[in-house]
Amino acid sequence: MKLSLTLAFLAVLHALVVLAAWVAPYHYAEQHRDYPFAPPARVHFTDAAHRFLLRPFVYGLTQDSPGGDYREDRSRLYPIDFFVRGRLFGVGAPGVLFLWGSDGYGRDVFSRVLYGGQVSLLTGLVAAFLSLSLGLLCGTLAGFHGGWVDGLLMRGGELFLALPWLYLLLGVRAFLPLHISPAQAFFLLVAIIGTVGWVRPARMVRGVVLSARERGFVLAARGFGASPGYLMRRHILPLTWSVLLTQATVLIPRYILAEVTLSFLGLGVGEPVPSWGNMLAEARQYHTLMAHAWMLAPGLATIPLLLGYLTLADILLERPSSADPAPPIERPSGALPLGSREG
Amino acid sequence: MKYAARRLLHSLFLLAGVSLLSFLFADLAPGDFFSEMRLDPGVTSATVDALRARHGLDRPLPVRYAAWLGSMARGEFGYSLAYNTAVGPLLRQRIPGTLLLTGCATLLAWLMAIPLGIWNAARRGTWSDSITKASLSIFLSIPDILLAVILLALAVETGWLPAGGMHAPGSESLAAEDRFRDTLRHLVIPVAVLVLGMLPVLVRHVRASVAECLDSPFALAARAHGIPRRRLLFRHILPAALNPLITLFGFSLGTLLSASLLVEVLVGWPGLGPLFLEAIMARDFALVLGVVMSSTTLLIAGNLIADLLLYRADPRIQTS
Amino acid sequence: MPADPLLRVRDLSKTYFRRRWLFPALPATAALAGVSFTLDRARTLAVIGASGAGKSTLARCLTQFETPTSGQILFEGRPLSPHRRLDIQLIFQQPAASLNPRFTAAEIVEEPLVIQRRGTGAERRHSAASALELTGIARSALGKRAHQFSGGERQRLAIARALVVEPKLLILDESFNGLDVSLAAQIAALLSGLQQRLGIAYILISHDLTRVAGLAHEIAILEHGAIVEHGLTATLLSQPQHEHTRELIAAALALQGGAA
Repeated sequence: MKLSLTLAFLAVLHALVVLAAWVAPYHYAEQHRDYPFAPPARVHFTDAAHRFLLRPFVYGLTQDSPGGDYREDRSRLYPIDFFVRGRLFGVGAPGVLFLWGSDGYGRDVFSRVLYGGQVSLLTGLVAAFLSLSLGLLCGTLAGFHGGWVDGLLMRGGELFLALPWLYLLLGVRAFLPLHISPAQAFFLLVAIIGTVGWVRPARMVRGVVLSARERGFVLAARGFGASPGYLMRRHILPLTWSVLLTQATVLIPRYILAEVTLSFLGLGVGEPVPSWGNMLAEARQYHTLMAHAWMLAPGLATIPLLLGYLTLADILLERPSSADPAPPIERPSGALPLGSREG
Repeated sequence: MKYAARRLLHSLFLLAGVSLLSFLFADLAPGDFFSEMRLDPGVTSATVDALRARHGLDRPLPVRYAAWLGSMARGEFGYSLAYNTAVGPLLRQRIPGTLLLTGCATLLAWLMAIPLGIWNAARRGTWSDSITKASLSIFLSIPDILLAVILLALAVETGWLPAGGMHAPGSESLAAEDRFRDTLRHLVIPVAVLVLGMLPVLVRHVRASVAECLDSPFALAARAHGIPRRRLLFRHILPAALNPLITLFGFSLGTLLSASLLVEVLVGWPGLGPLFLEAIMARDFALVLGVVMSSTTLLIAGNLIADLLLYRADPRIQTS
Repeated sequence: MPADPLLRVRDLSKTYFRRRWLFPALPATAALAGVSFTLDRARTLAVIGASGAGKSTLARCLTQFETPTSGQILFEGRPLSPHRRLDIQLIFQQPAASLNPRFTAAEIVEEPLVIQRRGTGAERRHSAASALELTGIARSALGKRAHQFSGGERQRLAIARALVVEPKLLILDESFNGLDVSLAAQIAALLSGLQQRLGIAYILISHDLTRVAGLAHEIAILEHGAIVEHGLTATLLSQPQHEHTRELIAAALALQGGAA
């Protein structure tokens, strides 16, 4: 029950981000130079004469003086239409609908948060996939082959774990070109974040493979002449899925934060492509923040996303491994070593 | 102590491996400190080449690596082109900052986590447990960046706390006690951010460890014998729950140092973090390597201490 | 009548070495020391011994999970080879462990054929169904997953799986442990029937005489890796020659509460 709710919640968030081009009222680069740092729009249902209108609307905005506070101009009324300009909703020009306010260039924050989510979310997802794939490969090699391959991979992994994660990430980033296009930055980030994180998934997969190797049914299959490929494919790999899944729910939020951090520090995706990280960098200046608190929206947007993944991870970690009621390591009388290493 | 010697040797090997690999990786990097200079039309190529030769950047790899190792042995850790000085002093200036921050955060976080965890474990299953779990989860979902920025803004708005940095301007002239209090006030925000980041995970683990002990047959038997709760807790449960917690301490060190990097940058605390960022932006590779080696050393040292503590607590565990 | 016995084991020895890094291997344990016996078709040999006597090592050597240090194993007159691995099958001690809990009964029993790439899908299914029938599991259970079967049924599944490759020799390693009396009797009846119909030879490995005495034609007593006594069941039980045999018989009787 809790699982379905969490999955549905996450699905909705992901859908919003994926469909940004449709859900967002404006394109991320669309500027409204007349309205820098406009506050979040106040959507009304009753007009000045206290009549209830079926369609919600916003008033026009005016500034008393350039750079001053905005006021609602009640003489101009802009109803919110649906399916406007190929997008889910919006208001007709010259009205503006800044649900979460606008930034210094008059760009709609709500739209940019949605578009920015695409970058941050996608980076997290793809990098996690990369880490898990590398981890699966290395873990299987190490666990199944054993010997020097195992030793090499595990020692190598230790080297990666010897640095604190962010230092490792930034260290690798440091030696790559600084000024790159947003597209290049995206791929670079995915590559770095994903590659650097192979070790923990690899160790977990290795553990599964090591114990699976000794399972009775694997030994039985060997007795029938099964090749290593068959054993991996048919018996051992299916046992790794649950480990990989739980690792995914742990890695994805972590990697989303990694992208946000790197972009925030100016080492990731940059203008004009929004990412939650580079949007937060704008919000960092104090005077911006206090006067324009809505600039923190991208940071707030991460909270439900991370919370969703956290809850999912908790649920998955608490479950006993499904459909596997057999005890974990049950050996026939006396252990049967896989390929006797003694004697 | 044979175990300690083995672990120390292993740590040294690890450090050596990291130094070699990072040096190699740095070598693969396109461009260097002088790349920007090359783009400047006012500077000729010959000048740049001469500059590079003067700093030994054109020598073959093994020579440079050996030189770097030698420099490390002398405590210089290479030469920072951005700061025009040896890297070593720069690191030595900043490491105490990071240590102070992470040390205080660790202390405070554990001091808070243990009672909270025990309190929760004693009340597991009740509504207060659920509420604590939920709020901790929410805290865990708040990115450090957001937290730090909000706290800083609040600090400036209310004027209660300084808005970053480690010392107020002119604090050198204050008496020692005032300086101490000034530093303390500057510590509040960064430590708060770090602690709020660590607390959820710690409390969870403490709670789980203690709950497991409380449910164990031996604890139930002790209760049946009428041993008072408090004595049971301190004499029996806590020591048993200690092992996984020491392991947790080891695991959480890397995360702590990473979080500290970010917080130091956000708050302007003079630790390794801001130095690292400057080095990266300036493409000062010697300094980058220096910071990388420093953070690695800190982490490895911390893990070594945790392992030795674990060994002291339970020698049975260390058979691998 | 063929001159060669089905299985001839000559002077089989297996020593485990402890390998330490950079040092030459040091012999540590002699698991089997000069074991010799023969076994004919459709005969059952029980190998009895205490834990550590070398029973499992023997099983592993016969099924090529281990290579002997010295000695000879001749099957149908020829040395063991990976090609003829299917002729000797092993039934593991814990049936639950030797079956992948996620597999269906059909998948389990078909697996040897799949691995060996024998026959088409339909042929495999047919062979599997017949094997299951032989072991008394209904066709309707083909789609059930392994973890849904009871302990005794899982034992039958394991036997069916072994049968599907038409082995000539089945080695049952402590297969009667953990089965209650009636279940053990059922399995014993099944095995006996199969032997009569298909001419399979059995080696029953156990530490407990009582379980296997009913089925076995011959008994070999294993102690410290060597056979200390070997004879026909009735003879060995009524007139045990070796000290260890007497101990084992006494222990078995004690468990039974004195019934001779």
